[in-house]
Amino acid sequence: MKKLKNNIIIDLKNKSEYEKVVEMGKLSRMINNFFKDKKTKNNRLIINKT
Amino acid sequence: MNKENAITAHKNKTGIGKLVKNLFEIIKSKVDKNYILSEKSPKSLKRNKDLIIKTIKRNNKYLNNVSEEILLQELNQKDLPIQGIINIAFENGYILNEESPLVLLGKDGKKAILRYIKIQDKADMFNKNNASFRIKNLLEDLLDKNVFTDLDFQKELFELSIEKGYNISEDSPNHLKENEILASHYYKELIENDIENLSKKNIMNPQLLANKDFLVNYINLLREKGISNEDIIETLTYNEECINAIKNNSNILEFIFENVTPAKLDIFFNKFFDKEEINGFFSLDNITSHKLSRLSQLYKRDETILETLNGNLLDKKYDNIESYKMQIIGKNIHGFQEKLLGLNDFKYNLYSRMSEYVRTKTNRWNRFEQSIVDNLADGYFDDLCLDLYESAKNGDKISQKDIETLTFLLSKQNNSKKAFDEMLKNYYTSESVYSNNTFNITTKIELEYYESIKEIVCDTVLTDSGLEDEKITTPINKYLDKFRALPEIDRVKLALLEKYYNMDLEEARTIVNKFSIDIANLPKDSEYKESIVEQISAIRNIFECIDIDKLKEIGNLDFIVQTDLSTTTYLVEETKELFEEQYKDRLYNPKKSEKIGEVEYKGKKIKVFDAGTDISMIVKRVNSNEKNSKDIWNSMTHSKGVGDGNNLRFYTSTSYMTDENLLNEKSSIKGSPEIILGFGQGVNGFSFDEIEICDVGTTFIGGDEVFNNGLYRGGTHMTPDTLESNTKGGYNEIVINTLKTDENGKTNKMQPDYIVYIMEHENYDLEELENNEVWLSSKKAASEFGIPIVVVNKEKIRQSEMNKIADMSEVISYESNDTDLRKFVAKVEHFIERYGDEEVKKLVIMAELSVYKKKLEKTEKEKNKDVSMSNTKQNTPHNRKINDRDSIIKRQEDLRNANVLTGDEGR
Repeated sequence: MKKLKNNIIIDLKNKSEYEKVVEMGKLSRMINNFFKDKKTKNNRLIINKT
Repeated sequence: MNKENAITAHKNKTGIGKLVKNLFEIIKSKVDKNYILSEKSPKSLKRNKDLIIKTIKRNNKYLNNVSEEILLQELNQKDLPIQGIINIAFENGYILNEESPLVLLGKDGKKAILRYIKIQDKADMFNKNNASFRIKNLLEDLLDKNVFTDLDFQKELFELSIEKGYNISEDSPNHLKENEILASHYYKELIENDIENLSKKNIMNPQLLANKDFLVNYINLLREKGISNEDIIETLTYNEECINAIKNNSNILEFIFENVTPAKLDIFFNKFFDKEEINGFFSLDNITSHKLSRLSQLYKRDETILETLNGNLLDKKYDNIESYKMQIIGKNIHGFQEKLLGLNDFKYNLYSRMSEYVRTKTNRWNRFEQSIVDNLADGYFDDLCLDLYESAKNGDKISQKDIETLTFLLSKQNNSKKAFDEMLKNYYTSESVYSNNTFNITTKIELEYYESIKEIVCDTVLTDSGLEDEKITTPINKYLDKFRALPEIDRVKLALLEKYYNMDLEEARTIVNKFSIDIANLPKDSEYKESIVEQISAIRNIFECIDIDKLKEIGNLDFIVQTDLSTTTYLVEETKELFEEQYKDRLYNPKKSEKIGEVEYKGKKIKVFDAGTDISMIVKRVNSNEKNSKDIWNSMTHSKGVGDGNNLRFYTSTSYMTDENLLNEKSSIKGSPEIILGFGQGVNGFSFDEIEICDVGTTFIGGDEVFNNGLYRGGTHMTPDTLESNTKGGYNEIVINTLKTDENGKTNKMQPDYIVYIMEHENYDLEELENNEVWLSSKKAASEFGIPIVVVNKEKIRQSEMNKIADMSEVISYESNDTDLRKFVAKVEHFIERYGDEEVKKLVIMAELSVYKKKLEKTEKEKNKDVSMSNTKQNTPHNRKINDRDSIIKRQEDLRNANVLTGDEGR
């Protein structure tokens, strides 16, 4: 299929389950970095909710 | 007079006498109106047809005396004369028997019978002398006559009889009820006119059961009337004679099973066999019929398949489902089987192809297939399926690529369309929000361009979250329905989740609710585990974020993830496993050094261990009775309904028991003692699909859903420590899928590793326990399972807990962190629940405990204040990137050129 955008395609279609997890982990780490800024309102850690 | 002359004179005398007698008879016949023929009558009178008829009318048996010559005269005519001798004899009740003239019992007689029937009028049915009545008499009298060995004649005879209005009844002689033609006609009339009395007027018998042609017609007749297979079988087995006939002739049984396969298999086989006989039946190698062969294979793997498999799945159409898979499918009573059976041929074909694709991708097939079947059966992809069907019909075949994209779409968590229509109308503002067909993909070409559509829609939303720029939104309006119905910030969240995780908001909500509470407390000692934790955190961060600008910044990462199967389904399974590990690693397993003795039950030796303190166990309290505990557990018996606590489900609700959460006093159900099954290594490989802090009655709600992919189950996965502190009401629930398929395709049930016996007193003697019914039941169960007994000494644990509270109370204060405070409060409360507050009060000031609790409640409220759970309308200003807008317009043109966008999307 023709690539239509400037987006970088992360193609997991023929990856093993392990590879999928690790690739998504990398992307998720990048996303989580946006939330490490203390000013972000939801950077809580939920532990032991009663 | 010599001897010779004497003889001649005597002859002359006799001849004269005879002549005189004859003359006398002739005169008598003329003058006596009541004269009838007899042996004495002269030959000349015996040939007189009128006299013969007159005689027969008085005495039908006289027909036996009529000469063959006279009879043949009638028989040789084209039609039997209505006023003829034979007809009148039959009409007067003449019975064919051994004494009948040979001419009537032979070929000509058969003709006569047929002719006799042929000339009958269809008189009115209320007249006892009507044709049907006369034929009835004739046919019933033919019992045991050689005419019934002549099949051609028989066929003609019965067809003719039916034509003349004859029908057998439930009172007819057996030889008539056994006849295929008469019985078929009887049933046809009965089913047509009086079907509600079918059971009362049933005439089924072994001869009919052995007649395959008859059975086929009979089954078809009932089927045309919409009678279910189960009810048809009822009519075939309505008495002992029929049941035995089927039981003793495997050909009949196979034929019936093949042609009227019941949905409920156990009910069918229990009609004929007891348990041992069923075993014997399925161990036979001579089962040749298709469905029974398949069932036999499944039965050899798991005998309980008869209780749970819907027999309709034995149809040839489902042969492509491998046995190991069918076995699991066969365990699902209410959901998967019915949905699979409900798919039309086209959808089933799609399912088969997707299933094959899933098989090449993962061994977690059942998790994905559940969603695929749910989405096919009751989802938001019907328009798409219809378009695929139409395209295929017009020659545009469904490619493997189509199947792959379709698998991705349909392996997502299903949102039931029916449920929305029936129940949720008032809850969801828009069906497009509820639908899991996020991009409203309804045609084959859209399926082919799915990735492009997803990309362009997500980029459009991230560029223009207000969806106000008509230039870029109008052409893709069709795909924006779901986004338009959402508040602006949720549009952005949905676009991000789809772009990076191929996940919608509902799936994200499930992930967050199910896993985020304790995700930070999971160990990250490998790249794999760390990656899972990062994913859950990122999804939660996006889902709960209230800052639209931050979300848009994330959108600028400019990645797009393409994958094959639903990310959510994978992630749920992977995350569950991480939590499960936390439990499995610390579960108690008996050590040699903890052995305290050996007891016996019916000659079997049972090892006894003392678990000491600081225990962690998965336990299941079950009712004990005279039946073998292992057999009950392994029977995999499904629920017989709410309130029946004796049945163990495939999804079994267990409890995580620690010192702090020791099960309460032993109880009993319906007067029988309860024992406790303990699981250590035995839980390995079995999935913890739901964790609840209290009893939520799981076994009565969804206990048998083997296919339940865990996504729908409630509860929140948490670490053992969190569960321990948060347990409410005496015990928690861990719902385990207790079935697992091994590498040979055999389904196994999770087995207990030991029986747990909670000892009330510190000092004990095993012999003293011999009067204790729970102990005796525990021994019985341990011997039946072949596992040891583990004693948990409640008094030792009470003392140990007291010591822990004492230690904790020395360091705890208002300034302590929330985790420590919560642990302390929970430990004290759990102690009081079990042992009262007398001793605790010596160590803990209750007023302080209340203050700690209030502090914890306050902190909780504070935390929730800054979380957006995707429902707030935010009109946050944002910077639109001109380059992105231009890029979107350009890409839309490309899609239009590819005929995906048709130009009339501005609706």
